[in-house]
Amino acid sequence: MNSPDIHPPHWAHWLLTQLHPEETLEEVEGDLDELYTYWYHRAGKTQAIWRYVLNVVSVLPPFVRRREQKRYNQFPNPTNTTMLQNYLNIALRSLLKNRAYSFINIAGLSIGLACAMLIMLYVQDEVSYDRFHTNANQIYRIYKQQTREDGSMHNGSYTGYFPGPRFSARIPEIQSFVRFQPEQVTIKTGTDIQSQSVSLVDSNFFSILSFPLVSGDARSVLTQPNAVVITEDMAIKYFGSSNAVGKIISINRNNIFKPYIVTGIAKNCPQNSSIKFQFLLPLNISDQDESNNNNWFNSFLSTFVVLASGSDIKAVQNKMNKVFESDAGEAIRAIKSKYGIKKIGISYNLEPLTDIHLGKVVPDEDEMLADKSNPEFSFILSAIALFILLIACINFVNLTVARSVKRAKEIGVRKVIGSTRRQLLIQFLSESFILCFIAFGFAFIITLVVLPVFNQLANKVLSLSYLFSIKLLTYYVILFVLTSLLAGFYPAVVLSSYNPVQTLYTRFTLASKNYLQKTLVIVQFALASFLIIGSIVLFLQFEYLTTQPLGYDDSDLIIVGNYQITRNKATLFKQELTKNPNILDVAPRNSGYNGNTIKINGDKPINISIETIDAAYLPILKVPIIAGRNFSADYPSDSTHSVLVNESFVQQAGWKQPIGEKITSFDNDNYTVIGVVKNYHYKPLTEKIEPQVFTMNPANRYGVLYIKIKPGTETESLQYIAKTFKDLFPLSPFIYNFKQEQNNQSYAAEARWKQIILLSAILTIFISCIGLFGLSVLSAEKRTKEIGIRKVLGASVSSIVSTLSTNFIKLIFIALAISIPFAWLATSKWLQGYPYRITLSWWLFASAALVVIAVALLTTSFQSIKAAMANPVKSLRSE
Amino acid sequence: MRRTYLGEFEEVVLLMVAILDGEGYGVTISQALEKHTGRIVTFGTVHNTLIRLEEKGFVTSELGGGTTERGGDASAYSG
Repeated sequence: MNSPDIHPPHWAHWLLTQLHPEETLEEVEGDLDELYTYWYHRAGKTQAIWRYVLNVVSVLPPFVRRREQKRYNQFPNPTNTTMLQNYLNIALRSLLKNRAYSFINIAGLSIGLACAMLIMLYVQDEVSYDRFHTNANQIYRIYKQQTREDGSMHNGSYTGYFPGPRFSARIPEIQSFVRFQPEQVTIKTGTDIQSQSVSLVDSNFFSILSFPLVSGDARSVLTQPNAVVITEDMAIKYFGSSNAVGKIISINRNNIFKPYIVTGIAKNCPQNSSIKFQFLLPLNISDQDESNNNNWFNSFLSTFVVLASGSDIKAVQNKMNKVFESDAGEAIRAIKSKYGIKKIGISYNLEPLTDIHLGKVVPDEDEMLADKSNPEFSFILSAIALFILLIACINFVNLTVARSVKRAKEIGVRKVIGSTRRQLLIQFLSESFILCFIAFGFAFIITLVVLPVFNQLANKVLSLSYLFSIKLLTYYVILFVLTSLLAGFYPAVVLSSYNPVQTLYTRFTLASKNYLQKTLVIVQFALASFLIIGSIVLFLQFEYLTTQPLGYDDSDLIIVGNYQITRNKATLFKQELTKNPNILDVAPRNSGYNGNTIKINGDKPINISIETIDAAYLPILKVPIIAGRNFSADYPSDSTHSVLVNESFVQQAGWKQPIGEKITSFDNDNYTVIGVVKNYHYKPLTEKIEPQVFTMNPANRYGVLYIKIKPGTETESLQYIAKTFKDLFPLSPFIYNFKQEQNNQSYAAEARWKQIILLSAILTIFISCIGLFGLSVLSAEKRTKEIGIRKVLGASVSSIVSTLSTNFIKLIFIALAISIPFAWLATSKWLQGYPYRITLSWWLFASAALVVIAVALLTTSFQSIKAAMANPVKSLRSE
Repeated sequence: MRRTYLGEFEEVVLLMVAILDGEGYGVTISQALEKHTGRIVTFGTVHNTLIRLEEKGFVTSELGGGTTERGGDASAYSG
């Protein structure tokens, strides 16, 4: 034996025993051990290990040569497996022999399968949202249903402080609740001030929701009022390491910086979670708020409740509304009498946590919860993947059937020798399985390679690890089997049905009209042209959205956000900024969009969007005032008693003479209309221009500043603005944006869809065309003799090309005739979702048709020209 | 019967087997190879060549017993 301390590395030895052929394992193992000892003594341990590993590799497959086995007692295999081996052999041979067809089939199928795989990943991710919580099916979100005066209903995800605690105190089915309130705060690290989004939550957050903690105790991390739980990413961002428990961080809330102690580190939120957080602070509610029943009507957070399993949702909802009516009764009466309304129209309902991501009941408001998505995306994507896969399967069916003439002899011989039909079915099905298997392998590789691009297109963070979930793998296996059957079943049935006498007779031709092949080609091209039309429409609509004039000038406009800006500070800031000649003008505005309802003509309610601005705002945007006047410093009462309205407002109010009309707020304050503003797209073009009211009311807060700069002075101006901002607002983070960029970003979803549809259109047309190419090759081959005779008799190349191509082109025309109406329906329905849209004109469809015909013609004519140019002597000589 | 060719390296290995006169096995052959020709080759090469030579009928092998120095049994080759 070796001296005890001299042993080759275990793993290498293990590798050797696992992979080296059994016949020679023992001697090689011994030899290498001996060599190791020898090297060890001669050259030292490192050298020895190095050489040992190298030499182990040299005796692993595929490098090693196997010693021929001595065959003792060999019995022949049972006939079954021999026959199966033969099928396999023949299948591989025919794949290799007809490289072009194998390529067409494998390329098409692997692209189709890859698409299907990606979409399955996508859908799997979509439906997996929020299911990782251990008691996910017991968690519900409380949402508020508001019935407006005009009878319209609105579901809102916001609730206030009360629903959680008060419902759970009085309704036994509600076991516990947790509230989740997003907030923007500023954080001071050294002298640096940064804006940070945080979430205020109840202290039982981690006991109800299954977000894992890296450190800290789930029950107690949030019990201290100055506790903060941060995610690993945030810990690294602020402290440089994920080990930050006990560290102090200075957070500004209510204008004071206070120290908070990090009590726990949470794992980064899973990407398939609707609830996403970076910082968690305990939600502390003052006694004053706790006792003020008017807080029933302030809604700004999400409330989640845990129901006892098996609770009746309807019953719980009824109980919730009873509690609301009794608890908030006084406040409701007060509001009714104050605003003179008969019904308050608020009811509370429950929505399962797992429905939040794809649900359509409650719309997403200001992205309080993350990643709200539309199930339509999944449907459309699945449909596209199915289209592509179907087209690839059609290629397989068409090519196999068309090529079957060539294999007719083989089938005849097999039948004569004694193959049953069932055996032949198995043979041809196994061929399609082999082909699909190869395609599946390629599809897997394509999926891996394309995943990052797909993530970008679909706005997802799908990872490869998803591929290895058992569920998804099962789906993939099902996909594989289904595809193989779909592609292989029909050809197998057709081929196995041939009559041996006919096939062995030399002049066998497939006498059928081949309706199936024609129909399938039509289906393929109908799908392809449908997608092409779709992508053209999408493209044009997107162009329209991004190039349509907005009604205002968004160039050279910088927006600076600041939530704590007072009237005086705004004026001061403007004075400071306009000292710089590069800065042309500054105007404040409220942040975001404030919806409200006002009354006109006595008591007719109108839903409006309120803009709190000053006199400089409209001129800065170059929005014209078409009647009356702008706000002006010459009229001191402007700020308290005057408003401007836009054209939409005038139209909805039905005013003939808008100037001088009165509008009334629900607090019964009256305002006089002093001017009418031309309509402009203050929201993206995906939304309609609603009635707007412009006010200078000092009770409303400003939130952003619009700064107009000289063109081409972005860098200098920004530097100056940043410096001035720091001087004036030392406690606020400097956040800026270019309006133009912001506007472009509002069409990100459209931009992504444009790419997805374009890509799928290209793929479908590509796969369809390689299929068509294969068919045209086959038909040209079948007609070689005919072409030869035609040429000998004097046909020109062009006439032969046209005879060969017309058959296919006819099919393409039928496909177009079928797909254009459907495409028209689908695209016009899609466009209806846009208030501002292109009109579908005939030339759009004509150009799509032209593209399809041109591409198809190109594919078929390539082969026809080759056939037509061939020397007739060659094709006619041999008989 | 097909004609059999002998490659250059095969020839050298065959020579070593002859030199070692029945004592040759994987280890000794590679060491002899190193000693006489200065060529350092991987064990896999020697192993494969020996098997190929065996297939061609130039050498035969028999299983020897384990020695104190090594764990596994050695296959001794003789020309």
